[in-house]
Amino acid sequence: MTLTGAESEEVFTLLGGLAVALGTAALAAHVLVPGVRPHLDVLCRDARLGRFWGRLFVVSLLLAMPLGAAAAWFMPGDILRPEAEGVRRGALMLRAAAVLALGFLWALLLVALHFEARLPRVARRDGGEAPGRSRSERGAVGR
Amino acid sequence: MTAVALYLVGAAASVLLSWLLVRLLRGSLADLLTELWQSRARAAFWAAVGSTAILLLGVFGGTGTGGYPASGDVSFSRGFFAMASQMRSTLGGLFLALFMVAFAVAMFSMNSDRPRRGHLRGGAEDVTGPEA
Repeated sequence: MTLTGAESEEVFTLLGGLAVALGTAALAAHVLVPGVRPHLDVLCRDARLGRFWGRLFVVSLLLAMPLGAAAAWFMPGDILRPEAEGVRRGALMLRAAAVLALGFLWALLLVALHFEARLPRVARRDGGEAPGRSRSERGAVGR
Repeated sequence: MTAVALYLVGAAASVLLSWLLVRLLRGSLADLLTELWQSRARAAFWAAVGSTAILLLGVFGGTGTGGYPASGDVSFSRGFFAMASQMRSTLGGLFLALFMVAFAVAMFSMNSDRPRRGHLRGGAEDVTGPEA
């Protein structure tokens, strides 16, 4: 099977756009993972819950960016520019990936602000309750 | 070189530029937030969120297509100016992200310096128990 010049350029756009989107997602996850985990443990008041939500967020981000880029490639074109191809289609892919990732980050920010408002001031300053124990374990110690 | 290949090289360069800026800023941002909040976990969380916002807005800025032809080969001079335009929009995105993070840190800093209302009223708002 041989591809024509235009077809090979489209495939190159898809693969290149996916590579840039995946690289950006990996860098974003690399920045987010070590910083987000300890505070999520405090916000969830449970180390296991914090680990779960942290992993879920990072995996969602890693999947969403390339998937958004691929979905933008399959779209026939921008609403304003229906003839999008080549460079314009690559730009649409990267924009879709970046906008999805920014949306995820915005959701994380809103959720964190919501849960921070429910934390007592002293727990917020001291880093909260000791992570590593589940809620039921803390209840058993209390009893 | 084809226009798409040059565009993708420019996009990768904008990712790299954003990453370098994040690496440059992350440590000092975390230190500053730790000093503001006296909580290392909270400071690391918001430093990570701010750094990721800088990275993503830089990448988003780097998606500008001004100057590129839609497809086909591109001459050296046209490619050079198209990539310069792409880098300019990357720097615009990074500048916007830095401005937003700096504004947020300044707002947090002003809020943490301001005395709380409860202290002005002799700590009356801190009394929560029914026996008090």
